[in-house]
Amino acid sequence: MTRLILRRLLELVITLVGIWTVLFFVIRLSGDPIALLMGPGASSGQIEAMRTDLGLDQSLAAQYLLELKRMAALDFGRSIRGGQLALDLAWSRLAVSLQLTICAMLVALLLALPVGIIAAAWRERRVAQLLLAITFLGQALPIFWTGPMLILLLSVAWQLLPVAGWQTPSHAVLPVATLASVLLAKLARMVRAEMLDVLEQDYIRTARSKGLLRGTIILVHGARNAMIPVVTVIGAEFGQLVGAAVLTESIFAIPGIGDMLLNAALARDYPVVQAGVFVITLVVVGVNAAVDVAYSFIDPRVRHAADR
Amino acid sequence: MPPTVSLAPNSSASGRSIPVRLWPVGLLVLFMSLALLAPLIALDPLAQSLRDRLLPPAWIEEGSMKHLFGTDQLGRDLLGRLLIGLRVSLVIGLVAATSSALLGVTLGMLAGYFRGATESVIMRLADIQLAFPLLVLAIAILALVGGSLVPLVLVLSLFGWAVYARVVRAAVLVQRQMDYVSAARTAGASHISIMFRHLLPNVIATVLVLWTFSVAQMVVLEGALSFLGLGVRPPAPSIGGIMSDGRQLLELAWWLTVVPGTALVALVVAFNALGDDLRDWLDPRTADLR
Repeated sequence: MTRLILRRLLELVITLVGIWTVLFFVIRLSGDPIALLMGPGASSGQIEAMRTDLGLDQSLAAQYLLELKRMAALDFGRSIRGGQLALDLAWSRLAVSLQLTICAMLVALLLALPVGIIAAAWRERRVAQLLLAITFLGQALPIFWTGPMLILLLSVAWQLLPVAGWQTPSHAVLPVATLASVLLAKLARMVRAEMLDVLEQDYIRTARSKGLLRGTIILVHGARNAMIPVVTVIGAEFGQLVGAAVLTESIFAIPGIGDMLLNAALARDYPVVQAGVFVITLVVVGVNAAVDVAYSFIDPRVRHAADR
Repeated sequence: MPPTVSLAPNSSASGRSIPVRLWPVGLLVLFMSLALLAPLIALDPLAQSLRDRLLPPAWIEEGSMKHLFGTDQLGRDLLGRLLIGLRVSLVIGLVAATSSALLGVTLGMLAGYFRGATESVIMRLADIQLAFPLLVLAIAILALVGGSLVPLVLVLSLFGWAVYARVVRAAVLVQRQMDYVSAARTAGASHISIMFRHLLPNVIATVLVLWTFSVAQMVVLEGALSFLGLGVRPPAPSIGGIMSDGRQLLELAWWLTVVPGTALVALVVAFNALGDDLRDWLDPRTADLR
């Protein structure tokens, strides 16, 4: 158990350092940050002073070490545009993104279970095949198609919901639905496949031969076991969902961390880009690790496999 | 789009000379020829005409036959832009899927063949890649480096390799136990030769299936990045770029969203359906589960 937690922590550190390294080289490749920091009116003396100040006059290796130290000290500097501490800015935007992502995940999970179970239990029926076709289509629908289409239908044509923003619960309906759609299709297909697998098992036959009701067999014996693998992938899906949330935030003008990152990157606001990527990595890898550890608590087989 | 056709599972999977359904292949051939022949079919995608701004598609009352799918905010022909955008999506999708396949197959092969430290490093990297939202990193990289074609394809390749690596490694783990591998080894074949002449042909079918799905994935990712303004640079048309303009003009010009969006979805559905058929053909067990 302790070994598992330690290994996960180590992975977190390695991921952070790796991504930090990629960003470091990309930023150095993309041009001289001084010009942006100082603006056009700076004298050459001021520029040199700034360069020394930031350590940009040193060798690449020395700069790299300096950057690593800054990350370790959580010192990301201030936003070039706004002047706020970059890390504070990133944290303050995180809450909105997490609300969006977690709501979408819950919606997807709550809908995927019945859809997948119905599609598996009545696989011969029209309903099940229709559901399957819809999830097949759903997997192919990109976020940046679903979002605008929902806006067109529900906001522009029928005027039921606001077009964009993040103020009231009604603002959340369309973004959450949009973000949930991709995961919903994927999870429903997975639940269905697991259910079909579970329904072939011997204990289902035993339950049937005992004369239990079909509904009881499907829900109590089938669905409960089919859920286990689905829950395990939630951790991994969380990362993809956070990525998709960036698009959703951009479509619906939601002031989340993805929206912040995109605008900062387009404006070359390096400190904010670094802080944004750092916070997102920390949250995603952290959640993954937490899910893994929690799962090994629940299932002793996983715990023993991990300790070996 | 005929999703109803897929309501009949297995109809194509077994016992037929052609193992795939016709509509996905037909759709893909149609899209590819349209993209290739774009300049012959449609008007110049860059020619602006402010008098013809935001014309609706031809079948709407105010539309004109000159612009079948209408025009955008600068009066450019939507059909022309769509077809060139389709070409961009297809080229980037095919190239990025292929390069990530090359990377992933090589790494998966190395991991499965040599085991040990090589394997654990590569598979850990794959785990991290699959769990990490690379779109976030891609945004940072492309915004800073600038969205020309080479960085775009490189970044997209980084998205895709891990799936190949996982599957190829698993397949190689099985294959390397086979007699033919030890026979080749006894005969003095080198590692490289065993990997690429003996093992590769046995995993290539699986890779082909994955590749088909990953073209669809890459097309969507390219669309997403262009939608965010980080892919193909305007004024060059791209499907994501047109939809990004369309998002701003939803209340005035729905066709800028609906037309390219539907084309993109059809393309993705076709690749996914083809991938499903190929998988069922190569591994009939999965067909039973569908």
